[in-house]
Amino acid sequence: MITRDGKQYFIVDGHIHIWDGSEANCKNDWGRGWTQCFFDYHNGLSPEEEKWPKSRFEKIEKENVIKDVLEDGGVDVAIFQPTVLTEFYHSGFRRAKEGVELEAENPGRLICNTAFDPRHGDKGLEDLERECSERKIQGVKLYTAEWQGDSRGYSLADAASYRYLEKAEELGIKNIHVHKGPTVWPLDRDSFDVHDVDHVATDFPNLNFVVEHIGLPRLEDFCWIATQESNVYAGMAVAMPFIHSRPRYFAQMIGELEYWLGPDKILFGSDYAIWTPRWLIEKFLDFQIPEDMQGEYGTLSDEQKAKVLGLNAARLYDIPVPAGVVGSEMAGASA
Amino acid sequence: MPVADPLATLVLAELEHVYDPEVDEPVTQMGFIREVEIAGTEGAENVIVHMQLPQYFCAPNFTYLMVDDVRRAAEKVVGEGNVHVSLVGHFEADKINGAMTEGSSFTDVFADAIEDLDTLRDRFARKTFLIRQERVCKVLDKSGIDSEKILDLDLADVAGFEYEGELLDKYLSTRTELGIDTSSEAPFLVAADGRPVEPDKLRLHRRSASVMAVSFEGNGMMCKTLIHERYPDSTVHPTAEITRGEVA
Repeated sequence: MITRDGKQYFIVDGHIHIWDGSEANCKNDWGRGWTQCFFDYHNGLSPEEEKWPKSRFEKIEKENVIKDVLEDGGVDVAIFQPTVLTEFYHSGFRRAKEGVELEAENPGRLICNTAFDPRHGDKGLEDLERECSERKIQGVKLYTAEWQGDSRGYSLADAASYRYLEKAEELGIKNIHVHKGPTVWPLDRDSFDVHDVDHVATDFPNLNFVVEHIGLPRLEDFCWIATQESNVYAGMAVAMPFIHSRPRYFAQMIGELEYWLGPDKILFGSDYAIWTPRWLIEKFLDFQIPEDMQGEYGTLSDEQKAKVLGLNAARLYDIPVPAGVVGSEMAGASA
Repeated sequence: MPVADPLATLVLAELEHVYDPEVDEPVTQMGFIREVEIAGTEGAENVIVHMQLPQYFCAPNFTYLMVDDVRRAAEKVVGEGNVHVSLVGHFEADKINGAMTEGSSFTDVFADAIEDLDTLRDRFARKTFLIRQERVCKVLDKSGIDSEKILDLDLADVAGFEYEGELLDKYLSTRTELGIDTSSEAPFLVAADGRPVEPDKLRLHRRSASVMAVSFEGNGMMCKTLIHERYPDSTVHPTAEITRGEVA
């Protein structure tokens, strides 16, 4: 919970990680390239006082998540979006065991989504079933450009993807987070292409598709699709930190999203540990569209901010919203 | 600080015309040109253009496209076959550098890519066209032109306003590149395929172009931020000294 001007805001961080990108876990230069790229994002867009040494950045421990996100971060509920990358790292980039443990140890505070890869065939489907029998899973993170043997990616519109999405729906997984951000391969027209989301969003109306990183660098294509499909959402991870370094640009981005998608389909995400959540949340609460841009984009109300920061994600994940926070009456507060 | 070589300066000036298609800015301004090195002997110089990119994983299709454009631009100065491009810090650097030396096409090198670069280039040229057109529209807005009136303007009307830098020229050059009529009586505001915009589609057309511009701008900022982190010592000026009398 974060208080601003005497008002309380309920915070759901829709995009966090616990990872091991350390040298010891790197399989090859691809892994090293990946970790370094994340670190460049961190340094390039963090305020000076929020920068970490690489030794702290490259491997995240359970206690770091608790302190940085839940305690210091002011976040009420956070959701892990695992990035697997077994071709780059010995045990994968995400720390799977630790993520699940954190969820069990912090009930109601941390949600650990899983990941699947349609190229894993029947075995992957069985694994998904088993995992869902062991714990409640509401969301999955997909990385369509992930390397797998000779394959450099897949499309959500592939027949194999449909089998997995059907299985996900059957198992009660309803939130499909799709990474379409900075990625690796020119397959299928363009590795950043978001058009496959359009197909599956139409064919799976009961699933929600959250396009992470708001489809950057194809914001225009993403906005267009999200306008057509009522079950497509914008994940703000990576777009948020511009609020510090380029606030006028951030105004344009959030202004476009509000225009095309409306206030109910934008989800806050810090992308922890690339960035820590607190400063992003506070800057967002203090933020307003600059006056000379208000003719085009209007202004952001407290309710709109509350929706982005927590209420929208709470709705997707059935997270109870406490009474008394900004927008709680819209969210059907629980107590 | 090495003295700028005149030939390197000429090459660099030519590279100012090579654009990053996802950003609509010259590769020189993006920091992608690390160094223009002159090798060979006097009168028989060849050029090595050292390139660097914001990420180890920058998409190979755009990477190939820009590296190839850089090679062609440099060849305008020193002649075909006299340019070597050396891309560093990229997961497919060897393949792309090799393709430049051997003259292999993108689809030769990346056999599983299903879109050729001409299609990609055309798609982004049309986006660029819409963005530049929208920037011209914004100037017209500020000059007090009624939004509905924009549809009635032809290119001669539009030429009567003042634009920052080379905005109008750049707009017209993309129009030419895409084969869209640039005669003075041609209608100004057209869709990416050159057809007129219907009055009831005007708002949607302009909002779409606007979000495209935001997207391009974001790409540019992200790339500049990352390349600065990656190569803080980045050299984007022609600092090479010619190696007189030595054979490369």
